[in-house]
Amino acid sequence: MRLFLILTTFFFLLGCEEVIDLELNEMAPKLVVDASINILKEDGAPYESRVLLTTTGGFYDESETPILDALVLIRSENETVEFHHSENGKYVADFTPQPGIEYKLIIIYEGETYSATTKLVTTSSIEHIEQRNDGGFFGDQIELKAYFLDPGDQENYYYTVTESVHGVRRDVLSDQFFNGNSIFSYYSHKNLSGGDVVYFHLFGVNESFFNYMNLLLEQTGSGGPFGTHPSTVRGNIVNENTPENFAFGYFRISEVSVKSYVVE
Amino acid sequence: MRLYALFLLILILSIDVVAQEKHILSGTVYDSNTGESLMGINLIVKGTDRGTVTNPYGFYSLPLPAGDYIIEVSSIGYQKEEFNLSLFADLRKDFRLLPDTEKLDEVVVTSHTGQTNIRSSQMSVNALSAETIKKIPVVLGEVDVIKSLTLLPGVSTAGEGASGFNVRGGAADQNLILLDEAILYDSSHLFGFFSVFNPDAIKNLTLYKGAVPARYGGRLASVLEIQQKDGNNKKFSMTGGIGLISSRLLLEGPIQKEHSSFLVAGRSSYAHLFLPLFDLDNKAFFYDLNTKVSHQINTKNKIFLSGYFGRDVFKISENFANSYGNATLNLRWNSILSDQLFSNTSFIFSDYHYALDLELVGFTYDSGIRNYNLKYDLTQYLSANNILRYGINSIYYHFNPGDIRPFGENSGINPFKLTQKYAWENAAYAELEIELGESFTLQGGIRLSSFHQLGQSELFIYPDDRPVTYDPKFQIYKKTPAVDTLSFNRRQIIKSFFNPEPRLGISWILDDNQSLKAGYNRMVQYIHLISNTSSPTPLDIYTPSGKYIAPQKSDQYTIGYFLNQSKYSLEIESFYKKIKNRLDYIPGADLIANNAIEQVLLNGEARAYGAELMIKKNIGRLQGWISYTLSKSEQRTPPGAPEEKGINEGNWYPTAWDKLHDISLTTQFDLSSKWEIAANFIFQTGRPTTYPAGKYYYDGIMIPVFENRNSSRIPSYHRMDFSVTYTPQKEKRWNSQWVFSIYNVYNRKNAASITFRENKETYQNEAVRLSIFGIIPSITYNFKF
Repeated sequence: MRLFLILTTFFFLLGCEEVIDLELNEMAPKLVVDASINILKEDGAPYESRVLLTTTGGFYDESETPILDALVLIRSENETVEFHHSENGKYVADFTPQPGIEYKLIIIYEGETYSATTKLVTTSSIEHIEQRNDGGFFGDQIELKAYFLDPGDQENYYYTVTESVHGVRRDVLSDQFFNGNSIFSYYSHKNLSGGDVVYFHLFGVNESFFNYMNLLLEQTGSGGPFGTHPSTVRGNIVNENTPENFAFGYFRISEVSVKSYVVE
Repeated sequence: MRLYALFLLILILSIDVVAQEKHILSGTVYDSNTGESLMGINLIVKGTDRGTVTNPYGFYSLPLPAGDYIIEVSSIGYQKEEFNLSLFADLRKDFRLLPDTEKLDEVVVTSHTGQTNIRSSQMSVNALSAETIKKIPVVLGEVDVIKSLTLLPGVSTAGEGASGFNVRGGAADQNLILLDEAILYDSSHLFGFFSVFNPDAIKNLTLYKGAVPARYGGRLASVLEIQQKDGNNKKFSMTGGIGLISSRLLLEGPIQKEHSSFLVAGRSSYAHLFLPLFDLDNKAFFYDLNTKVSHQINTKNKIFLSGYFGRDVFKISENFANSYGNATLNLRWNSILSDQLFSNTSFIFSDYHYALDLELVGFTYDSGIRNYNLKYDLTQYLSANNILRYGINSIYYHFNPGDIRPFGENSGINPFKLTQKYAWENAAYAELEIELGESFTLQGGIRLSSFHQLGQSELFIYPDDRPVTYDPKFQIYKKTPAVDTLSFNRRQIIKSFFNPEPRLGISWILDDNQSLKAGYNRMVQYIHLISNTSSPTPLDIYTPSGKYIAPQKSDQYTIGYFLNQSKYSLEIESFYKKIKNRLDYIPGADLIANNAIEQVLLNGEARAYGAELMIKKNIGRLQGWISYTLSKSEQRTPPGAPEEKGINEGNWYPTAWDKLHDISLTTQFDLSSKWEIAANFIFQTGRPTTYPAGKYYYDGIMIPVFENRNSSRIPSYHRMDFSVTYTPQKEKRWNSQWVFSIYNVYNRKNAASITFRENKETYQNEAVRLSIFGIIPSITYNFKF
């Protein structure tokens, strides 16, 4: 229910935006963990799994700062899988998570051990995609809705990533208001036109990731009198040696349903 | 308890004073042209230090020993009159005053607008007349009560386009806004660009910032009391205006001449106002409707029925429709029970409703708050300058935190009505204004308030009654899962609160032209606006105090020095305010459609202190005022337990409306009988904001890493406005007036906010300044017939 964004839209219609030079302080670098292990809903095969390690940088810095020399492991009761660095801070391994098992991510970096634990979260299948040409907020854009059926017997949370050449739209959904119903993930862009390919991803996530992502998305859209206070967003990564020196980011294991669509 | 003892003592003393008086002169003061009763008119017994001031209904009562007197009746905006009287028995005498000038704005000016009241023990009070407000240059020429208030010391807003106003460091929801005694829950149109008051329909406006009298309660920071006009009971008349944003029309006249009158006023902005770019089925407009019927039953009884209805409406294609606003109704009965006893009984209804249809997602939503209020107030005139007020007040609330229904044929949304909440607030008060010898006047009062959270269908129960848990591992606050759900019927009381609220004001009169004053008030606020944005949004809901939410309480201490010179008056005040139980929110709290709101709330505190200076010039061709406020407003949410961190590490941080310096200059100059010019200048410290000190990427999203909450400030705000008013010669009964104005004359690009984003094309991070109003010329035409 990020309705504030709608309010902000009105607000910006009236205003005048200008990029300004503003000097900012610079914080000491901190570890950032972007660990996403995914398997496809349809056949259980690994899908774009990786552990991406970087550090924070100055706000205006252009280059990213990958970590090339960390030790990365995923451990369960039965196995330990080591992830190897491939390029630009990306660590990969041949790893297929199983349902019901608790996995622990262990990262050893600059003499400190960071860890996080999670389990595989299932998702629903994207069933079909509907196109409307009088869609969008102002009714003048092509809009796409990717429908899926939410299971009624449990609380579900979803992370959706929808991508075309025009841009990526990310959202998180809770089934609080649509439990057990057929519902959709939404995509629209002013430049969307016939022939464009749009990729829909529906990840199953837990409540804690939902809260984390909800807060991240809120921060990126904040500002103005209707903005909320920005704050430090903590994920599920813990520094086992010095808790104050925490790491940003999140470790999640998701089932994902993927569907592509060619705009008519 | 010592305060109660003092209070009793004063009461006994005052009764003694009453015994010496012989006869009572009482009556009502009216405007001789319109028949409107006049508030704040001074009645002075010449050659003595006795005198009184009319109450909000124009009534006065003045006990005097038998004898011959000259009574001087005066107020700014009216011709001073003197009457010779021989008082040998109780006497009822009504006065009819002629307005000073026969100008277009035939609006009452209260005594506070003019010279400072040296003798009164009331301090921290400001009043503005509709006449003054109409001449202040404003954005797009839209006369605005709230914007005018922010030119006074101690009053500010969170920024251009922010809704509501902030008094002495208080939050916007801590203002009690009364329109003909009815509570208004939202004072803004279009998210704060305009305010809901139609200036033509307003008679008086008084703002209490501190030392608030005991007759008011329920909010912490201020009381803004607005009285609508009663309607002309002598002749039919029409007032109106045509502006760039809106047009307004007011009709008033007698129903039965001299006995009853009506008033109907409408104001509406033009549809499609803000969406000219989209040639589609879009609407964005607001309107207000004010109505009033007054009837004089006999010389001692008068009844009034007044109402307000206002809405903002937005509709964008078929996807999005949104409307919200206030509705109020007040039935009031004034009765002069005796020469010395005035009573007012009111039954008041108020409603705030927010509705949203979001076809895009497939649901409709509405929320709101509604209250029924019964009030009985008595004013007893014990002797000249000694007044006792007492009364009771009972408010029944119904809170609708949200109701979601599926919308459209294929909606996947389940109906979901949030638990409706009910509460009952009661108060009794007594307040005594008394003179202690030549040099002191005192106003002491006590308000006893109670609040009861009434039964609701679902009440969640948490372990140790703690709905929020701190997770030390991740250092975050989390919702505690409920362990049980209880159900109550509406006649049951879940939780009660009782609070004494002492109020005190004292004036030490140094001489006829200067005094020192001190004041204290405790205020208790039982309802909370759930909002974690810098300024409230129309969507925000109210929630009652109860099992998990404690009432907000504030203590405010004020001292001041007041001086009247022949042309100038000076007011210097200093205040210190402490607030307990100010709500704060866990980061990422979802406040809308949350059925267990207590799971995201934290208990914080706030404080504000500062000094205010106001120099006014009330006489001559050049009039106006300078106001300067130096203040700080902070809040903090300390850890609830040792292992917790609180919000912002538990440290104090500035509120979103904290502005160290706030200067405004407001001037009006009479060029000739036809031309008048006015200018404003405003300078304010930039409001606090939070800047990033770094960034990282997660799943391709650029995430800024922010510093401590509100640790930086946007650049200072300043601007100058200018207006020219042209009043042509009156033609028969038709009066007209043109107002030409320029807002932000030197086109300063004031920052409303600074945001941080990744450029969509270059992927380079940038800081973006949003400025709202540049230079804006406008023109308004006003008329009266």
